[in-house]
Amino acid sequence: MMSVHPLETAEGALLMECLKPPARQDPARLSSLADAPGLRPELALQRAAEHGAAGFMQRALRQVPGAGPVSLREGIDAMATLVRMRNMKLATDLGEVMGALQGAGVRALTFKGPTTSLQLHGDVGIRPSNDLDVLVPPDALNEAMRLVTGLGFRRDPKFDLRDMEPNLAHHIAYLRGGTTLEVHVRLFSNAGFANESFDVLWPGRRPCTIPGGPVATLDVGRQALHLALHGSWHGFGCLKWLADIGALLNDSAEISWTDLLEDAEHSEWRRPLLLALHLASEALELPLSPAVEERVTADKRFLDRKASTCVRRWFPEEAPVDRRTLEGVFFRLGLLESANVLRELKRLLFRPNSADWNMLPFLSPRTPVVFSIIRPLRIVFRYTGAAAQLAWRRLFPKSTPS
Amino acid sequence: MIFRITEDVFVSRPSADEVVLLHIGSGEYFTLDGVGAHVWSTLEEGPRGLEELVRSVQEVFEVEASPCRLDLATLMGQLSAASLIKQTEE
Repeated sequence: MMSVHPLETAEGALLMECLKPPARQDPARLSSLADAPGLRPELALQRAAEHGAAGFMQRALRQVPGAGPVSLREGIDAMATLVRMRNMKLATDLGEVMGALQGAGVRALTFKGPTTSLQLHGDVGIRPSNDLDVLVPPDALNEAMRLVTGLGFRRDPKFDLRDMEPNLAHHIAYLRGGTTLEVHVRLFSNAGFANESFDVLWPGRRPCTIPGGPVATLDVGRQALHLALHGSWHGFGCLKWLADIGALLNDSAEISWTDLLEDAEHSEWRRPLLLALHLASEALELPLSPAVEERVTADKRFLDRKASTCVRRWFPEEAPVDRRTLEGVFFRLGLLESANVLRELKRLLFRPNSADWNMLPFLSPRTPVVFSIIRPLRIVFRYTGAAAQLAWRRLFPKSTPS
Repeated sequence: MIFRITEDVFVSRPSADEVVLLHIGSGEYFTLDGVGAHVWSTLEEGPRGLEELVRSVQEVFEVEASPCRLDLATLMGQLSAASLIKQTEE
């Protein structure tokens, strides 16, 4: 059995227990962890903030009234209240956006965001969301852009429409007040799963009630796949993503794991999916279905290695896996099948963006030389520093806090 | 007089005995706990009159009918003023 529990610290052990689905939490264990002698409340609060876990911790700690330091409980309550208020506001904005799209006859699916908290964790205030994600068919993108602009959203100034080249960027970002809205035309930026047609996703939609009425979200299988890929892609640097997978594993009656595994296999996303399921199962002590267990066992050595990389960064002194570091790039490439590695390298190295054009304004955005020279050079400059930093950390590791 | 929840309210439940309400129109947040949360849950099941709410509270909390009625009337007034509920004849 791989040890993925970051149990070296009292804060880590408490956090992991709180992230389990409520039905899997043991009040006696929660109470004991909350009252553990070595628990540092300020560090537990920091970890809760880093991992989007305040709502989960509040829900868990309310099962055991009086357990844990008062400063921890009060701090968690304060953080969770902010998460709840922010999510409720986001849900209201989402209702407005979806209402406008639906009212104009634009088919739209919402995913991630506040509906994830509602559907997977039973309340809008549990899992924090940073933004809103709406998927529309590519041929409805212009109408969707017009409608959200009409609601007062303005395109994120950092976003360049030229990024919307096929198979490059997969969304357009908008801002209104403190709300970021991403209008997607694909679920994922990479190929394979990303290319799945909206028309394939639409018939399996399921309703979720938010302010303004019911909206359409992804079917639970697609949601599981997307959350697994998204989390794996980011090395599960944020534990709220793992809690999502845990909730799906715990209440997976609607999911056909065999079909999901076949889909993932077909779109060459088997390893990210298995990594997510394996990690959640081990860390949150949740059983896997026999079909998943069989696949995990067949690839256990690889999955254990990747899982260890994720776990090492959950409660670290070092930074979590970041796609902008060399290690992050290798982590992601290692999850891909050979065909997808080439696609990802192409995306990574030959992706044009506004910065490239600004450097060479006399070139057309479609000039091949820019694809072949400028982007790789920028990547090399960016990662040289990251590689040196990584080597330094490996040579002179910091001691782990007791 | 019957009380019913308006359509402009979005509800979140941090725990069984606490509700957080967002009035969508005004953007204002409200928190109810204890008896208030219980009353809200009762109203979520359907419109209720004051006497029905009093009985519902008495089933869960040990409280005399008379002060309970006064307190609930005050609470209903506050919720109405915040447009979280509306009062109708039937």
